[in-house]
Amino acid sequence: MNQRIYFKEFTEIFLCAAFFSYTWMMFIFLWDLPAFLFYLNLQEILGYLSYQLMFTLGESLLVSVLVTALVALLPIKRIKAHLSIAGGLLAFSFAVINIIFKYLGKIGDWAYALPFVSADGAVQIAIGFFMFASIALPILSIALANHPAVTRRVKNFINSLYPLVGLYLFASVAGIAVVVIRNAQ
Amino acid sequence: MNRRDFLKLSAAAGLYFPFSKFAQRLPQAANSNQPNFLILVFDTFTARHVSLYGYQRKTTPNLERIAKRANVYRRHYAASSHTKPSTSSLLTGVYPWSHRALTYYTPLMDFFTNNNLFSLMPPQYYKFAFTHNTFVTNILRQFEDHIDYIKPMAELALFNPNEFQNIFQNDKRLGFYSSKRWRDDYISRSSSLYINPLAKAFIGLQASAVQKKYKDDYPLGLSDNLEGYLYKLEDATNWMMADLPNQPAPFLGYIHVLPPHETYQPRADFLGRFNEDGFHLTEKPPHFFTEGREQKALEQQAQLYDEYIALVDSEIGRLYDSLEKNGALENTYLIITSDHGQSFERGIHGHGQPVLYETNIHIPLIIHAPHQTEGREIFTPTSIVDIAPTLLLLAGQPAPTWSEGSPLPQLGGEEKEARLIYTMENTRNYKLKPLINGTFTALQYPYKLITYKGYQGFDGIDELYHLEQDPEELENIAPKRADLVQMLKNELDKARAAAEKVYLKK
Repeated sequence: MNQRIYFKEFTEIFLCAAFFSYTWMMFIFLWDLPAFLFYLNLQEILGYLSYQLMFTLGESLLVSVLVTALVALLPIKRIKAHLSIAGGLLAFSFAVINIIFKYLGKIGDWAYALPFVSADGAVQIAIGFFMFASIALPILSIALANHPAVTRRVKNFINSLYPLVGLYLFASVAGIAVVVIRNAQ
Repeated sequence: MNRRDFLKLSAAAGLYFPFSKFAQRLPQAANSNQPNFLILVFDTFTARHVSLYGYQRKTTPNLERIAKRANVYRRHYAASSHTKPSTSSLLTGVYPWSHRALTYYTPLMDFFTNNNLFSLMPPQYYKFAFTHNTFVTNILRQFEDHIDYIKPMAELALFNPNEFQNIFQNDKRLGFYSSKRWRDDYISRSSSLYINPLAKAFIGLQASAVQKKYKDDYPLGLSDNLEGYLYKLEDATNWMMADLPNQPAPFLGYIHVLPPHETYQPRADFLGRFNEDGFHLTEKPPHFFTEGREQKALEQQAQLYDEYIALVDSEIGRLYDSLEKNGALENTYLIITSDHGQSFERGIHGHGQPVLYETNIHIPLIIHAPHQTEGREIFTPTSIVDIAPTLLLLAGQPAPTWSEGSPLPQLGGEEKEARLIYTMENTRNYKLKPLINGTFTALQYPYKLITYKGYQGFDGIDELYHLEQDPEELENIAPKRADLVQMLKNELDKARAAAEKVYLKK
């Protein structure tokens, strides 16, 4: 690694990755909650949430390590001064790419409801869009990483994440405890 | 000390080795007078596409052959159009309004954890099970204290992407469910934002490599349990052929394989078998719950389904011949059935919509009894809830007082022409509250009432069909027979209220 990674910069990248990971997890959890109420009791729902919090903490840490390593290893000098900004933007762009990827399989179903688009055509358009986004978004993230306006806004955004991600982390620790207790029986 | 206790003790003493191997070494008890039971459930197998049951395509020549020495229940019905509720009914002898496993992951009421077909069999019975279906796995897990051996799905997999979901051994149900929902997209979107797409891509690449290997034999791909697990039905047949003759007797085996559930993956020698037969399904008007599928598309899917059924039938024939040859059938009741049907009509493909026409609920039931040499046809309507009390009776056990089924005719039960049987689809209800939404049928042959409850825009709708005169259910005679509709609805409401009074009393 040609750049010393400071703990603060890793933390800032982690804040971004954790924010996107946990927010997505909570979005899906709240989306599913009405269905859970049909067949899980409160204890089971909280147990389920504990597992999700534990998995998401692991995912956030893993993604942070990978993104930090990626930006640190990129042979582009101008982003070295803005490592956490580039990392945060990359975490955001990967999140967007993954959300597109997650819904690719649904495109055929949607096209079914839109008779003017053939299912095959819609899938091809979606795959093309996905490929374009997968290449363009990371490049854009790196390109914008040292732009003053972007840097300032991303920095402000990262700073605003401390309370929310702190709350997520606190909940995750409680979740891990619940999982350990359930599996220790 | 019974056999299960002995095995637990052996394991505790450090005599560990894979149980299947151990089971294979145990000799069949020569003096056992009690019969064995082998239940073969083929998922999503509608009687309406079985040539033995009158379907025009020759889909099941082997079942027709077996039927010459078996009881064929002509009017046999599922308890629901979904696997979890209907299979739970098969294994408990009660309808879904009692066991409350109403949807995919809902466990049965706690009462049935220790009150089911496995638990009520006499203690000397060796009980084993296998399934390709995750929802059935969940049921078996709930009953596992009463099952000696559940063959792991992975052992018959050509590719299994779900291994890590089994790591929470002390919290199996919630641990499995949580890790599954986090990692895969089967029921809902995955909760994992970053790892899920990477895992999907990685697993997809691995699966394609396996699929490529079998491309010549399976041009449409290997069978998939809808969660990425790839398998061949033939491997399950081979396992049964090899292991069944060596099982400790008496035994109760429950084998629930996924074919002919979609996606339909007929082997090369079955694919295209019905290409030029000129057969067409009866075209029916779209239903309120239509998915908007065109008749041509439905017929294409139905042809693939029929070709897949032909593969299933060929495997049934292969297994039957093998078991007969090695004498394993001499003291064994062989039960061939399904959990629910499949629809290719009214703009609907599959069994996901809340409709309960015959294609979705009329299922085959063929039972070959030990030493049976003649075929018998039974026309009394029967239900999946009858299987558990029947097998218990044949094993010398009293029928459980709480069972809503009754022993099958020709196997200890009586023919009751006027009998009422029920089917229900209630996936959108609270487990522990009275059912407020769903589709129900009450069948008193030849009349079949279908009633829809709690659907926005389709609430309180009744349909009545005369199945003898109108087997395709095209003419709704409810307006002409309001008295009969009311009588059947009253009976249905009474039966539901009685069940809910018992199980929802808290």
